Amino acid sequence: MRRVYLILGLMAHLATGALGQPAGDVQFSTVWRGAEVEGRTLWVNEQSVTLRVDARTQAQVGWQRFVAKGRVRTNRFYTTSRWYGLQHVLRQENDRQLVLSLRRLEASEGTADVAEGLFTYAAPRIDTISLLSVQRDGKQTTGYRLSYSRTRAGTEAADTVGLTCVVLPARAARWQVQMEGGVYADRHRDTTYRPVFAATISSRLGRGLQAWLGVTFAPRGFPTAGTSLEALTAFSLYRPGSLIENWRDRPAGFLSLQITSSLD
Amino acid sequence: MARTLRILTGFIVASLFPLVLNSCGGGGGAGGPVSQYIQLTNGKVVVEQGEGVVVIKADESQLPGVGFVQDAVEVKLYAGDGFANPRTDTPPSSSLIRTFRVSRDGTLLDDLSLPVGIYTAVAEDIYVVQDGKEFRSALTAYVFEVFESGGILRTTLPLKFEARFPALGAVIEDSYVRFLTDAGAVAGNSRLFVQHANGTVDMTRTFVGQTEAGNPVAAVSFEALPGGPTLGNVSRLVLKAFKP
Repeated sequence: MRRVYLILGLMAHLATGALGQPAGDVQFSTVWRGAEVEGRTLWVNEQSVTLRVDARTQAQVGWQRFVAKGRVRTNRFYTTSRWYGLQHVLRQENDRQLVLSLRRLEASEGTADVAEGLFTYAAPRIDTISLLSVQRDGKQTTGYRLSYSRTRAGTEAADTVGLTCVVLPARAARWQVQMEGGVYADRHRDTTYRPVFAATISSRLGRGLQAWLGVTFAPRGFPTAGTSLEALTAFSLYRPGSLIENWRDRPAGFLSLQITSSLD
Repeated sequence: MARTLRILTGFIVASLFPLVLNSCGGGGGAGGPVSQYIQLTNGKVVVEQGEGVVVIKADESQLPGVGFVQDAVEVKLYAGDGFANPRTDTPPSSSLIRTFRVSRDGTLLDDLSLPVGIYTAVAEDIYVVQDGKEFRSALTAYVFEVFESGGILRTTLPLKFEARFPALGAVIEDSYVRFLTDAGAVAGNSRLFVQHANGTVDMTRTFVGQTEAGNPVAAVSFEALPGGPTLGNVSRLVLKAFKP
């Protein structure tokens, strides 16, 4: 409870600071992610708030809810999580930018409700630090992100290092396309390399409103941490069975729809 | 700023470097799971009929799934199901009936005379060592019934108990708990609840009828699912057995 008060206090403090800032300093976001792969389905809902603290710094807090169903539809795994992020522009030089991001994700206990019984798994925690280098070359923007995630789950732990390239080609009047490709080195007992690809198209819907439609594909499964499914894949450290492990160990992907709203 | 960048880059590279090194030869720094188990084949009940009570005989009866480092361990006996919600409940002290002593292998050192009802026996600090492998449970409870059938009092305590518990740090898969009890429990329910450092296991099974050495008995089996997690310190193990 003390932590909740601390978070609310921090948010209130940041919001107070943001009120005096220019437009777009508070952003609300809702994301739906869904997938059906080989008869298994995944449903994710995420809400987040981003506050611009100053010209170089942003703070984020978000909540997620995951439900994964198996081929036997009554078999399901569910969990929730909340995460906190901080982004700071370390360097800004004309068309170059270097951004440091810190993120902590605290999942709740995961529950697998299957025919054989009810199994719960201790709540994992993921700490991620990443550096994003962005360069604008004419109308195209290219970014490289190097990230390191440490996942702790009960008596288990894993490390994930990711290197991702993000490309935003020239922007149309209302539309913006973003392509992303990366590889993650995932270490838990042994090390596995997992590529992840994503493409997103975004459009301005109106004043302060923007929509994003994206597809993400991981041909060798999603890494333990470092992606937007990390609150789910972190549970794979427990080897909890195919309900979760298939999202990490088999080809997988999902569609996502995000709506963001910026307050003036 | 440049110094900050160098430190951050150094941190990430330092994290990446052992990751790459550990991938050589397929070895991981964390090490593989321990594939070891603790085999327990204790648990037995020998009863006599008393005046409106069943007498569970000392020296012949044995609590299932327990082991201690010392003799004459005190076990608490409560009235009712003290673990209706096995995850959160603990038996209230007001329902404590008595304590009784068991030896280090769970053999009763005191007779227990019980009328019809539901009871919860709670043992603390279970510690079993086999060939250097350890199993610990801070609390182990057995919830059982004394019931009348065919004019005599019977119990759902195990006539025969067999368990393969994972040792600390071993993956839970391939472990099991199986036991036989009085045939009057056929079609009744048994529930196994284990709470440990990496999570919980909660399984419910129905007693089925079978014949053991020519005698009808009720049998139940809890088999672990394939995979993990590894077993962390067990804080609570509750086994329940109820007639239909």
